[in-house]
Formats: sequence, C-alpha cells, structure tokens
Amino acid sequence: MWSYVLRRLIGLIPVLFGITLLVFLFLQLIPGDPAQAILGERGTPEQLEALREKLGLNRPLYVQYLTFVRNVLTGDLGTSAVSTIPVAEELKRRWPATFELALAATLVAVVLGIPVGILAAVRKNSLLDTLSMSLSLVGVSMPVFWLGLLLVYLFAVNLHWLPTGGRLSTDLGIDFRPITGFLLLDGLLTLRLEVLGDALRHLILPALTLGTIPLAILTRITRSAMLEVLSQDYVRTARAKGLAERQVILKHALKNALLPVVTIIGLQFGTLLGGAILTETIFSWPGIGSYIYEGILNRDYPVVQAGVLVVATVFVLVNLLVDLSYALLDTRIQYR
Amino acid sequence: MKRKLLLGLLVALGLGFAQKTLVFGSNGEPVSLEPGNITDGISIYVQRQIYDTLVDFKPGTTEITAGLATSWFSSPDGKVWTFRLRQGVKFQDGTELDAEAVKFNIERWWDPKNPTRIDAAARYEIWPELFGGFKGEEGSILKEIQVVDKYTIRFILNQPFPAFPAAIGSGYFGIASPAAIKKDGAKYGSPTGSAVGTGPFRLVEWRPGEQVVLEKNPTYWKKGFPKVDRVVFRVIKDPAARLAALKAGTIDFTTDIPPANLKDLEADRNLDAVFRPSFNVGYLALNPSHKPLSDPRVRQAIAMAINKKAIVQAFWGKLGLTDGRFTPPSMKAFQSPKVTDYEFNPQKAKALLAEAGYPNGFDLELWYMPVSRPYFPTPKEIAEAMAADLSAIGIRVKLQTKDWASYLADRKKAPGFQAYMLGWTGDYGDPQNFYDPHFACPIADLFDSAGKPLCVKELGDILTKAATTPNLEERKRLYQQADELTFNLALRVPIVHSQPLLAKRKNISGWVPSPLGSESFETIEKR
Repeated sequence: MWSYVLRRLIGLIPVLFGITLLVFLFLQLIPGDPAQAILGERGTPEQLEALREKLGLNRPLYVQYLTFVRNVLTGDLGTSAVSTIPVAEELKRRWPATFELALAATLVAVVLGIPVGILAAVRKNSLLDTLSMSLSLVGVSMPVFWLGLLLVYLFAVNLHWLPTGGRLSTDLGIDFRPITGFLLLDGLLTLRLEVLGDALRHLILPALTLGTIPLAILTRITRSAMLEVLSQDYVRTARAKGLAERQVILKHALKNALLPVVTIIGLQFGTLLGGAILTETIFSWPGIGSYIYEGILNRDYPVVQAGVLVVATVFVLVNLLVDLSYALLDTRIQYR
Repeated sequence: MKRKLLLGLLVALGLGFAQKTLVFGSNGEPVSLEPGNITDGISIYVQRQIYDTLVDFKPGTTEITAGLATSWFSSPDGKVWTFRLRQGVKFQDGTELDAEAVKFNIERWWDPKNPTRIDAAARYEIWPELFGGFKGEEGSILKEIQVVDKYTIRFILNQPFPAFPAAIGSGYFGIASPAAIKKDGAKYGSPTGSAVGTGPFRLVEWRPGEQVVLEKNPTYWKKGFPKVDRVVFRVIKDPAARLAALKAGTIDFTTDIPPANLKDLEADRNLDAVFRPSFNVGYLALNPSHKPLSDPRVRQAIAMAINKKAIVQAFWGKLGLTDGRFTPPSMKAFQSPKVTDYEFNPQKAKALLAEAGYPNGFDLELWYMPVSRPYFPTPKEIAEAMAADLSAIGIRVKLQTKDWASYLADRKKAPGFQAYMLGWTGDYGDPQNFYDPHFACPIADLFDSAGKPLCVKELGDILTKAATTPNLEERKRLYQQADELTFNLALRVPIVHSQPLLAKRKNISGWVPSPLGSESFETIEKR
C-alpha cells in the first residue's frame, strides 16, 4: 500500500510538469501584449517597453518557462504583476475560503444526492423517481451565474433571510480575527457563536449554487449504481435469506454501489475547487477562484500560472485519495 | 441559540447606528495605498479618504481650492511654484506635516535613486506621465525642490507648467507620513503595512479580497468632519451582485453601475441614482492615412452624417451628452463659444462627400473596442448605429474588432486603423490633460497618407504654447483656439461625454461625486 502511494506520488511529477507547460503555453496563445493590456489607453511606448522588461516578456519563451519552473521548484510562485504581492502569500490566504466553500458544496451534494438517489432507485418509476430525475436534469443544465443571482434576489434582496455575499457581515468582519481562515472552525475555536452563525448564513447560498451541479450528477450516479447492484445475484440471495428490505439496501447493496459514487464525489470536489470561479465572483467570495478570474481579466500571468498550478495539484491529489479509498470500500481491490 | 443570534444581530445593528458605519460597495480592490505608485481608480478612491493633497478641488467641480497648502503662486516666468502649507496639521501617527515632509514625498515619486524606494517592484509610473520624466531624465519638468522655511515649499521647473497645481493636486499624490514610510519600508501601503496621511479617515485594516476598514481621524484638521465614524470598502466586483447588495442594504452606496440599470434604480424607492459629472470623451478617430479621410471635407461629412443626439439618447439616455467638443463640460472656461456641433444633415453630408470627389461613397473599416469603457459602455451596438448612419450617405462600413491589447497596440502601428472608437478620462482638471495626449505633435496614433505619424503643426504649436503660458487669460484664449481647430479638423469626432452612474440608499446624504473620479467621504451623513 505505502509503496503504491509513493509510486503514485512520484508519478505526479511528470503530470505536474505537463500542467506547468500547458498553462504556460496557453497563456502565450492569448493574442495581444499583456503589458499593453495592463497599461490600457494610456502609456507611452517607453512605458510599454519598461513594463515589458519588468514582466520579463522580452526574454525568449524557453527562458521565461525555465524561470517559471525554477521559481516554482524553489517555492517561489512569483509576484502579481498588478498588485506586486507575492502570489504564494495571496493563495495561502485565500485557500481556506475556497476549501470551506467546496467542502460545503460537496456536503450539500452528498447529504441530499445520495439518499435521493437511493430512494429513486428503490422506487423506480415512482413519482419521486421521475421528479428527482427531472429536477437533476434542470440542475445540471442551469447556468451557475443565473442560479446564483436568482438565489440572491430571492433570499437576500426580497426575503432578507440571507446575506448577498461575502464571508462575514461588515461589522463582524471588522472585529473578528480569523485563526485558521476556516471561519466555521474559527468561530468554534474562539467560542464566538455569532461569528459561527454569521459565517454559516453567508455560506448557504454560495454552497447551494456551487453544489447544485454535483448534487444533480450525484443523484443520477447513485440511482444508476444502485439499480445495477440491486439486480445482482447476491442481493437476491440476501432477500431470499429473509433479510429486511432496509438491511438489504443499506448493508448489502449500498456498500457496493458507493464505489462509483465516491469516484464522482472526489472528481466533483476537485472540479469545485477550480470551478468555483463564477460562484466566488457572484458572491464576492474571497477565494482562489475569484483570484484566478481577476488574474485572467488583468492578464496577470504569474497569478494565473500559479493559481492553475495549485488547483491542478490539489485535483491530482484528491484523485489519489479517491483511488486509495477504494481499498477501504472494496476489499477485493489490492494495491501493489 | 437562534434567539442569541438574533440578539447578537440586533446589538450589532444597534452598534451600527450608534457608530455610524458607512459601507461602500467597491467594484474592485485597491492595488496599493501608497501614493504615487498607483494609477487605478479604486486605489485613488480609498487613498482620497486617508490622504490630503497639496491643493483640493471644490466639491463637484475641477476648480482648485486650498488643501494642505493654503496658498500658492508662480513666478512671472511660470517656472517657480511656491506653496504655503497649512500649519498645525498632524499626520495620523502624530508626526507633523511640514515642508520637509512634502519634499520627502515628492522626491520619493520623482527620484528613482531615492533610498526610500525600497520596494523594487514599485513603478511610480504616474509621475513621469504627468511631469515628463523622473529626476535626471531629459523630459523631467521638475528641476529642483526646495524647503524655503518650515511651512513653505518651492518647486523649480525646467519649463513653465501652468497646470502644475492641478496636476500635483490630483488624487495620485496624497502626502504620506515620512515616519510611517521609513518604519514600514517595502510593506508601506500594502495589506500588511500601514498607510498614514492627514486625511479624514485612518486605515484600520485591509483584508484583501474582502474589505478595507477606515476609522474617523480624531485629529483631522477640518473641524466637524468627517460626519461618520467609520467607512468600510467592501469588495464586490460583479455589478449585478453589487446592485443586489445595495438593494438588500448590505452596502450604502456604490459606483460603476451599468447604465442599463438606471430604470431599475429609479423604480426602487429605497435607492437614488447619482450621476458623476462627466470628465471623459468617447470619440471616433478618423485616420487621414486612409485616402478618402485625408480630405477634411470627408471627415466633416462623417461628423455631419452621424446622428449623435439620437445615438446618445439611445445608448446613454440621461447619462450622456454630445456637444461636438473634445473636452468635457467642466472645462467650459477653455471652450470656444464659436463651436456649435455639426448639425445632423445627411443631405448636406452627401453633398460634401460629392464635393470631395466621392459621390458614390467609399469603403471604410470601422473598429470598435472589445471591452466596455465608461465612455463607451456598449461599443459594438454603438458602432452598428454609426455604421447605419454612414451607409445612408454611401459610406460602406465594415465593422472590425480584435482583442483589447492588440487593439490598443495596432492602432498606433502605421498605417493604423482607418476609423476607430476610443476615449479618454482625465487625470486632473486642466485641458492640457485632454489635448496633449491626443494632438501634441507628432500624433502617435493618427498617420498621414505616407504612413508617418501625423503632425498638425498649427494645432501642435498652439498646444505647446498653451501648456507653458503662465497667464491664465492667455491660456484660455489658446485653448479656445484649440477647441475650434480640433472641431474643424474632425480628426477625432467627439461622440459623447458620459456621466458614470452611481447609486446610494435614500438614507445617505452629502455625497458630492467629483468629475475627477474620487471625492472625500467626509461630508457624507447616514441617517
């Protein structure tokens, strides 16, 4: 097992190299001079040249790439061309916000998706089945941006039940110093229940928005996995033994049906980390997604390169964890 | 638990009322709170609350009034500017504002070798843009800076620069505490450092991506101000989300609302639409390197054929006006009474085209910007409307665009775009800042028929003279000439001066938006 983990980790190195190369090349493909984009309508040719020099754009392409890789290897993710703040610093600070949001969205998907999926499978062709499947279709196809704004207008602007965005109310934001950056955790650690409650209220709408697509996917996957398992011989045997239906489904069927479900949860979580861009933008969520989004808008190459690299790394690591979790769920799978 | 939460919320709300916190919805994040080292509007907006500048502007206008300096005058030849400082003004860290402190700030911006420029990444790009160059560079307008006595500072210039007080008073150049800069080093003005000025509010906390918190400066020199205890800049980049936050009451006031939302604002009884006086121009540049456009009659025909009033009405409504002038209305003193816009007259335009030798019109590539700017919120649709007008007089328009960076760069590469849309927002309240970047010889982005950068000598000479003439009346006369000349040349056809749309909740009063883009929040009250 451990040698497997080690081998997988070593296998990550070429993957990550590939990612850095891809990110670097893709940025080169964007037409236009980033220095000009940063300067806008203003700026003399001299200023343009000075900025190009500063951003290193005058050096040959391979030198730029090698510098980037060498810096990454020494832990230097570069400084933002716009704010001149080290990118690593900024990513570190924003990381908890994105992680908390992705976790909450996953929770929404898991807590709602799995039970509904099971029920839909068990009561195949019932009203509940049809309804949940139609709704999940809507969920998958709904534009995130539209859904987010819809929720804001309904629950924040009209009903005043929940805040429109941000992670904490303005007043709390002023007098509360986070410890870990995970606000829910920080609220508990500092015994500030009002912070915990406020952070939770701010989390609901973004988590729902971000969780809708994985929720819909998860419901469908659970249902189909469950249906397949339920038609297996051992389920029939279990039933024949006279086990209660509840036990058949939850004990025998579910455990085996969970395998593809876990894969999807892992994949979706990875996607959420990077895909939170739109949700974070609508809800002014100070995470990595909105940081990368801004980097793209500003043509801030170091930010985009490092941001994508970090998200990709996490994505790959999450996949590794998913693979490993198979062993726990299905003892037939062994790692050598 | 729930009750406790509610109680907590009520207490927080109660505190909010007692404390008077003003929440501003910011459309982005400040880049830095270090004066002279930024060019973005958001940084200036936040800095404006923390720092004062040498001169200030009358609220809502571009007219200069006293700031940190109570009086200033220039030598008869216009090359020496002397500023007398207000006495007894303290920085928020308790140190005193004096001539040495001002000199310290200026040298930091001007001198690339200044030892207090600790941060290697810092650019200080605005100084050479407004003052010709850094210390030691050929074009540098500033020659020397002298401390005359404790409260008098003197600028020796290489050439007369009548707009000097307006330029040095622009929002980029807030005077910061030398002690704080020395103490913080490279961290000064960043989220982990301090930002210390003499302004109405002092920096409490900057949480990047989230909010900047300012508190009332208890030692502020203007008695009775500011009117609130605290200002919070909440970062909400998406315009739709910002409007939602305003409607929900999460924020009290905000800027940069898309013009399309004006009706929505007016329909909401909790909100007020607020217009910022225009300080920009959106124009259609006509490049004489394209043969038909080298004839002024053709360019005038185009100016006559575009129904500017209808276009402005359709795309800006109350938020725009068109007057045929290159400078915005706040520059009225420098505008010629003789200039009245070309009347919209397709027949006359057609006749003019025929007279110039194009009775059947010609083909024209018209470039529109790929991005929305304050002066052209929806460039493509506006370009389509202009194309329709031009086709009525026989000019067959082909609409073109490309990515923003290439658009900006390629327009300056000979022979340049045939016709293109662009605009300008001013930095400081002087016509020089509008004319020089566009018409000073050589004109970097318009070309003659040989493909060389265009130079209209007559106009160039007027501008050079106007930029260096100390006498105000003489300057007015020269800029009025420039107004007439640019109008008749029609190298750039001004389409619009747009008023950016802002919004506030009804309980906010005393907010006077400045045409220059940033104003002090010290006069704002919250009921």
